[in-house]
Amino acid sequence: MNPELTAVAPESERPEALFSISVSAIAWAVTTAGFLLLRLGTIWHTPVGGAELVHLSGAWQARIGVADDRFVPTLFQALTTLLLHISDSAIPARIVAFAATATIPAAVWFLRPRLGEAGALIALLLLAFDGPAISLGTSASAMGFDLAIAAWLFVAIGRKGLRPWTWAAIGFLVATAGPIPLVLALGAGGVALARREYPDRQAAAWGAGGAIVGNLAASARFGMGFDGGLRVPPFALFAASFDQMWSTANSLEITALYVAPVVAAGLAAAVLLGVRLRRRGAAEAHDLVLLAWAGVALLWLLVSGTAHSPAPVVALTLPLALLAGPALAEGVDAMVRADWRYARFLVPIALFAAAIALVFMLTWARNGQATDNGEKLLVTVLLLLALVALGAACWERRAVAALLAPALVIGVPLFVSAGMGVSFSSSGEPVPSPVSPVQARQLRDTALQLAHEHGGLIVVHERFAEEMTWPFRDSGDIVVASRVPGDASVVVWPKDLPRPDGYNAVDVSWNLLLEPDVPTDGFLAYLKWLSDRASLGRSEVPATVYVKASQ
Amino acid sequence: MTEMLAFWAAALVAGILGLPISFAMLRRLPDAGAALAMPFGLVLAGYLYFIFRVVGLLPFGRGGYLLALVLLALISCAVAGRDRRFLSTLRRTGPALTVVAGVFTCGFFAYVAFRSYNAEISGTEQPMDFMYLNATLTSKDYPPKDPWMAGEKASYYYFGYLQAGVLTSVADVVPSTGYNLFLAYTFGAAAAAIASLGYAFARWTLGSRAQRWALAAGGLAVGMLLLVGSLSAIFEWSAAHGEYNRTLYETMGVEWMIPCRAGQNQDCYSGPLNPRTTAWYPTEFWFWWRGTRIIPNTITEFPFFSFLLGDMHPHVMSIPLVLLSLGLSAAVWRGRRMLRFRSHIREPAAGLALAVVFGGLAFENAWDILTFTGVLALAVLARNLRAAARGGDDTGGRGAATLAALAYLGPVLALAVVLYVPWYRDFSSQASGFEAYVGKGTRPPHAFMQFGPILLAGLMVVTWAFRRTPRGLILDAGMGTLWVPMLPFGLWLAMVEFQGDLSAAVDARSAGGWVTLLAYGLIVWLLTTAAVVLFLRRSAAAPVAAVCALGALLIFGAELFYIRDIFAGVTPRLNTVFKLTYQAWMLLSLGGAVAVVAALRQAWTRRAASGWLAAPVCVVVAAGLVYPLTAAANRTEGFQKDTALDGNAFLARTNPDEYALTRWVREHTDPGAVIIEASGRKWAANNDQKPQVIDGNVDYSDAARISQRTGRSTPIGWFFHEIQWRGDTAAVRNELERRQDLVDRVYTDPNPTVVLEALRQLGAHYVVLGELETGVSARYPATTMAPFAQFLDVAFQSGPYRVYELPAYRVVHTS
Repeated sequence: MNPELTAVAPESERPEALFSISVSAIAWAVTTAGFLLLRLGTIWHTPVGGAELVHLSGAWQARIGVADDRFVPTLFQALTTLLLHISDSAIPARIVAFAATATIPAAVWFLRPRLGEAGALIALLLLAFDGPAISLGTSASAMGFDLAIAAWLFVAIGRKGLRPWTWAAIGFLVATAGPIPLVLALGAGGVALARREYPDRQAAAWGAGGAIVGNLAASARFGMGFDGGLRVPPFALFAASFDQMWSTANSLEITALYVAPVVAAGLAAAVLLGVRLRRRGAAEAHDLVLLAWAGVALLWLLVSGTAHSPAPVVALTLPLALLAGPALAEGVDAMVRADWRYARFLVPIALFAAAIALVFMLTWARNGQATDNGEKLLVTVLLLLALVALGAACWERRAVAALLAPALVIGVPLFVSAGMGVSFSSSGEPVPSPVSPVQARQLRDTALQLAHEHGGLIVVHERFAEEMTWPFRDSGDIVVASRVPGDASVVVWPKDLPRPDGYNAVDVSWNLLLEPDVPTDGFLAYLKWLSDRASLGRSEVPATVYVKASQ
Repeated sequence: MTEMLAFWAAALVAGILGLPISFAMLRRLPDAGAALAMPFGLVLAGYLYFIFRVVGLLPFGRGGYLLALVLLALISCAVAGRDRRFLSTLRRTGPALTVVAGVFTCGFFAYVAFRSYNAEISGTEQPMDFMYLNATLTSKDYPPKDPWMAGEKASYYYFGYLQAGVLTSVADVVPSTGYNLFLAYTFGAAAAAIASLGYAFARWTLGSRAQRWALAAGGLAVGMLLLVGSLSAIFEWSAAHGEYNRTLYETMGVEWMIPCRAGQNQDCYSGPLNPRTTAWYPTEFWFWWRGTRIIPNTITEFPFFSFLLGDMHPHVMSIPLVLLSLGLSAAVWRGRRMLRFRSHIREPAAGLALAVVFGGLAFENAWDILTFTGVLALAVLARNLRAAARGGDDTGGRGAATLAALAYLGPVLALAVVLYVPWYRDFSSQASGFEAYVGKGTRPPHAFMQFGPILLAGLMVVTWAFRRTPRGLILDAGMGTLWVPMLPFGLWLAMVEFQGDLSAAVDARSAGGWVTLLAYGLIVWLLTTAAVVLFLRRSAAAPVAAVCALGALLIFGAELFYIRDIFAGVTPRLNTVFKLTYQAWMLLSLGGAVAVVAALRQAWTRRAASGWLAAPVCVVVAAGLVYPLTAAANRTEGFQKDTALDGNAFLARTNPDEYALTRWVREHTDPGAVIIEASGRKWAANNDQKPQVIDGNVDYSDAARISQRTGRSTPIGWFFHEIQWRGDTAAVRNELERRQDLVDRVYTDPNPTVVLEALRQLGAHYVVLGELETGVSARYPATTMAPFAQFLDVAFQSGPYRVYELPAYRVVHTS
């Protein structure tokens, strides 16, 4: 080969480019674009559901001046109420939530000095595909600002020389946010107190002042009237996450379905960091805050395992992604440098064996059960073979890092498909759920039209009192009753109750609420859902519309 | 199983969170307060929850409880951060932490295993306890409501229930399981705490080289506090097997345990004789109950009985807190620098922590506040006097030391009241005076059977306290402490004389009563003298003698005086003897265990003859173990009964429809809802088919059972208990009767308009028709009941039982 053709010109002799873009910049741009795009669509096509349904209902009640426990209010919920004066749709509030969430990549970018360039990028990538966070970060729930506030709060905590008044803003925002920034505030507070790293008095005073103003504002319901009680929105929403129905699936189920890979990676990273700090004997505040944040969030998730809320999951994945990012960057580097002498054969063998086993299991999942004993034996042998191969591959210490390859091969598709599922087909996903279907609003239109035609009252059964707030918004006065009053002309009644005397059914199959089933009836059900995300059954809250017979 | 582990873990978490604070306050104990961290953590979490709920900072529900723990965690972080010795103390106490966690765990699981044979929350006052637990858990506003008096706040010392609520809620277990698990927590925490204190006192008394003896003292203290019981069980056991000597039984005043003579039908056993027992233990139903009623017209309960019975009463739940207060007092006493007002400026957090704990004593069991605050005061005074005796530039004399002690205690006690003002505001004490007791005194054999093991153990102090002490010093101390028994006695004489019935009072006490009083007085005097001698000798054993003396003084005092309460007319000293001797049991278990071990060590290592006196005392203490052995076997029917953890499991088994109804109310009604259920009065139709009351007793019955099991308010619960909590005034009685009448009208008036009006007046949303309203135990005649289905909605139905709901009708604005 002619050396002249292959020689590389020295740097000084290279022609100067008009402009240059580093690979890093491209990576940041692409990841940020992905982060935003995965969220953008959900603003329009995701039905109102989960925590959003609860909090939008509260915001609507506040908008029309009705006291309701569902109006907490956080700053975002107060803004939502304001936006509902402009439009009775959830879209404007979602756009505002999206706008706040869209700043998260910038917050992560600011964390590069601490996470490393690659670490920060991977962290952002993990956050981009975080399904529950996609849903929460673009919803009109009271926690619409939470993720952004938490991310920026973490940035702020690590920065020195912030102007004192900045702490007032931070105090105000945390005091008027939901529980997700609270988790970080508690973790950081605990670390600061334990290490005696108290903020200077001026910053503390500004911060406390901001928090007090925030609490007073929330207590005054942001100008919608003081109802006597002290309101601390993060506390109130933290408590509500245990009692209210913000999700059909419980927190542990959401974790298993959507973010198990990032949780596993994050926890492993946290353990590694902990061990490293212990060996080092000294720790930077940043690392400790991150660990404490993740620790508090993990405790929240564990104690709320059976609560129907995605909030603890989202609160956990944020710090875990920041922990996992640098660890994965380091891990990939170690994986490349690992001893692949045997692993290069054994890892593919393990993956191949697992893939064949997976094919059988997917067939079982589609059929609903595994019947053929021969197949069962074969799958068992294949899985054992995969395990043995992996075990043999990492027999030598220098080859252990090679195990990251199969972990990534398994984890990445699971995580990405979960994120994409929420982003692109969320109407059939367990997150967000339960949802108020379009049909609920149509039912309201039908009832209004009938009432307009026939005159008289619209009566809705008491059982639907909660569910009807959002779809029946802006419908005039409606009677909620357990018995049909004499002056009712249109009656919206549970389908399982007998037809009210003197009323005829107009349409018998309306649904006020839809809940996709949660695929947690065993591993096969989960596999089936993975292979066909539209396969979930649905529970409904069926209603029938009746109109007075004489009319 | 999961629930049990979750509760156990929640208790350990409370302990871990309390550890930094415990270290900071109790570092002078050998385990640095590790064993007391759990009650410390729980009391602080309970207080934070209470006060922040009152001011509206914490929300209702499980989240509120978890946030209280989070706040405690922040405080602990701050304390650990400021405590430069925290990490070194943690390392030093590693083994102790393991041991106390082990003792707690063993106690917890052992009691869970035992309680599982009698898990049902039923009978005696357990419904009341369960009601208060549910009240703290389900009150949307704080201070919590009284579910048996809809619309009113609780007027009782409910801090223990509140702490039970913390663990129940954090562990996410149903209240009916949390009830039983909290009893197990109390047992385990008490075991760990008394073991630690016993060990500490023994280490101080015997020196650091007597490690094994100190461990033995810790173990003996656990046994004496939580296992030893009344000696009457020996007589019960013997009589049950037909082995008795009539004369002996009559001499001991337990003739009612042996079969009646011909023609006799009182004060004797008249049950079946062939066989009287079918096992090695007495199988007579609840024979062990009598072990706390040996002294006529009193209750002489002791901790083992409390745990055997399973009533989650304040005096039981307060055991760990009382032991914590004793630990704090001991730590204060061990300190060197004089305590004065300035000490608060130097260490404000310490005073605050003391105020929370000692103020909490009143909130948890009002009877404890005076006694154990007195212990703290003595500890502060003793420390200051010692510091003054040691001398120094600014210590001053005894007067100055005393003044400094007062100046130190004043702010602590004031703060202890201020911190609990929200509770005091609603609390109406049933105590209405302090009076001299005029009546039959305790007979010596009864006193021996009830307090023999603990008093004799405590008296062992005398066998070693005076060794190598100049006689002059003993005499001086003895003369100086004569006033301790004489002053109360003189006061008693004066009060009785003032009432004008001295000779009647002297006669009424009876000869036996005077002998007992004299014996008590002598014991008090001896122990006080021992305490003073040890104090003057600057011996570290002084607190052992002091707690024994105080324990004896409480028993002595209960023989002379009583706190006037609702029982004053019939059994005036019932509650006073009950509560004061219970405290004495705690003090004497602690001091007695150390005293016995110290005496035995003296006999063993120094061949001191007086030390061998501990041997017969050990026999008496061991005899006290007959009670737990036989009673536990009786209570569990030889450990053959079905087991459960859920206190409502019995209901699911015996009456599934009623159980389903209860669950529905708990899960589907708003916690603030008012439900109507049977008032407990029994009604029957008379000849004119008009309903009339035929039994008005409602206390200790199933009245208000849905309310107690769910925490939902009902207009009226146990009538006389409400009077106890709110005072026996005409206004209270009238209001209670009005409520009873209205509730009964709902079930006895066939006219829907009248029923609806009654519901409106009571602010009720639901009407329950379950076991007591329509079942086989119905309190109301079915013939006069209104046709509820016609004017109310059926909200729930299971078998024949229903819950009716007021029909809903409200106009909702949607724009």
